[in-house]
Amino acid sequence: MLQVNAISKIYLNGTQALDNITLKVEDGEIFGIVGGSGCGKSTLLRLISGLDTATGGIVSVDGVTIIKPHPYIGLVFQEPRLLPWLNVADNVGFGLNEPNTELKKQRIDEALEKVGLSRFATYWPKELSGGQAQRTALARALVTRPHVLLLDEPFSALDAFTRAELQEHLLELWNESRPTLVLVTHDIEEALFLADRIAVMRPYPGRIAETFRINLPRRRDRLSPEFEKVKRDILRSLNTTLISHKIAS
Amino acid sequence: MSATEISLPEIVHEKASAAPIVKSRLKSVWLGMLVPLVLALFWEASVQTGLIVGRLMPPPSRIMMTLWNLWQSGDLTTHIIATTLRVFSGFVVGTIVGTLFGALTGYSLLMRRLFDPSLQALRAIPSIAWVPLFILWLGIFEESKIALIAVGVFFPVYLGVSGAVLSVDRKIVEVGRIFRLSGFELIRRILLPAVLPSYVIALRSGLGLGWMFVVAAEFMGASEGLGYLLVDGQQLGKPDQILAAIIIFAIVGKLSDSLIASIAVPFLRWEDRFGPGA
Repeated sequence: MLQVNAISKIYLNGTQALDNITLKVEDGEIFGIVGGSGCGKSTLLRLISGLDTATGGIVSVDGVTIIKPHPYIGLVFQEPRLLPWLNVADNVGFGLNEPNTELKKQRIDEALEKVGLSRFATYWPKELSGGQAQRTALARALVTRPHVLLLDEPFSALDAFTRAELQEHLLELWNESRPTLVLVTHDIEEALFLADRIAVMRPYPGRIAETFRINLPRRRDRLSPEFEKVKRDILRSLNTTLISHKIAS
Repeated sequence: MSATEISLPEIVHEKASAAPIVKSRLKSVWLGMLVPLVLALFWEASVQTGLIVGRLMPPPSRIMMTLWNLWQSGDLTTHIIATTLRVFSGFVVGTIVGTLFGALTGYSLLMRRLFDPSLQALRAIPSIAWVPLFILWLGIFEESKIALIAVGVFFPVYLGVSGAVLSVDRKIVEVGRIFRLSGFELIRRILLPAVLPSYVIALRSGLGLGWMFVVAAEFMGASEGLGYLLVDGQQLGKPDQILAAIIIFAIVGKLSDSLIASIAVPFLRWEDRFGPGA
């Protein structure tokens, strides 16, 4: 279980990025975090990943307090961030601490197959499309079998078709081993398609305004009236957070 | 026939064959030779027709003769080996020290604050200014020459490595952090490969300065070497020998530079860049 307990973050220049955020994500749950830019959602994810440290509060995964990156936690960035001097297979195996080379190769092959990139194992990153590069990044994070996988707007740089395809793909991958997913996105539809719960964040300072439980069965139909209805609710919540912020400032 | 029946073209993966690359390579070599050849012919013709007096401007044919004689006597080989060995030794020393300090100051803020100001101040000294001191300290034989060349090589390598480490993309370093690489592993698996392209450039400019400083070093007293040929040619009034030595410098310098560039090529295939390989 991922627990975020009263986390706050104040930057050195005095800006309060996050204020007293508490949330619990159950094992195997997909948790979406939506909000406009600057609401602190990426900051929150970086704190959970251990890349940054909070000014106050505690993050823990399965009882382990997270103060720096931990093998329980995987992170997929907004950009693929592949190492250009390693081919696709070596990129996938980059974080895999498996001393047995035979086993390591096997796990890399497995991960590549899961993301449909077996044929591209020996390609350089520069030879991949945006979608293929992000799949590689996904495989690199999944191959280490993290308990919690954090995704920071992972598909936002992709075109609409590739994005929809990768969302479906992510669901399939999740369904195989059911890791906990925390997905930060500004795409409400994406959150709705994937998440069990969605937190709407409010900026200045960043905090969680409202949390929605999405009880629609998977695979979700993006055009169904139920989908539309929840989408409208979340949009309304986002708008009110925007408006209330404008009034406050 | 239904409209959805679209047969997908079979995807063929093949790497371009090497033949056209070799062909274009040869073509570029010939193109590169064109300008010097035309200049040489023009020069030769000007001297032969009496347009230029050849005494101080010996024509290419005379330079070639001089080179041939030097080669025949075995002197040329001795001079080339002497100079190349000096450049090589100085280059190795300068590169090792430059890489070490560059990596250290690039990686650690403390080290940068500690060493960089002094090194930058030393860099501001024209390196030739060290010559008298090096001779006093190390004598007039090989040590002082190699020290001078090493100083020349050190600075471009130091600056190149330090700057390259500093400018490694933070985003890629974070990938290392998320996978919990230790400081050493981070250097080995992320920083070093990331700086490799700039490192090759730093080495090449370092080597260029090495060839520059070997002349200064050999001017300060040498009994063999291409620099000695220069001094000797001046003192005995042999412009053809001076030009012969200059041409050898050009050839050996270019060859050594191409050597570094071509050694680096297989390690830099991953680069996604505008221009083709060196």
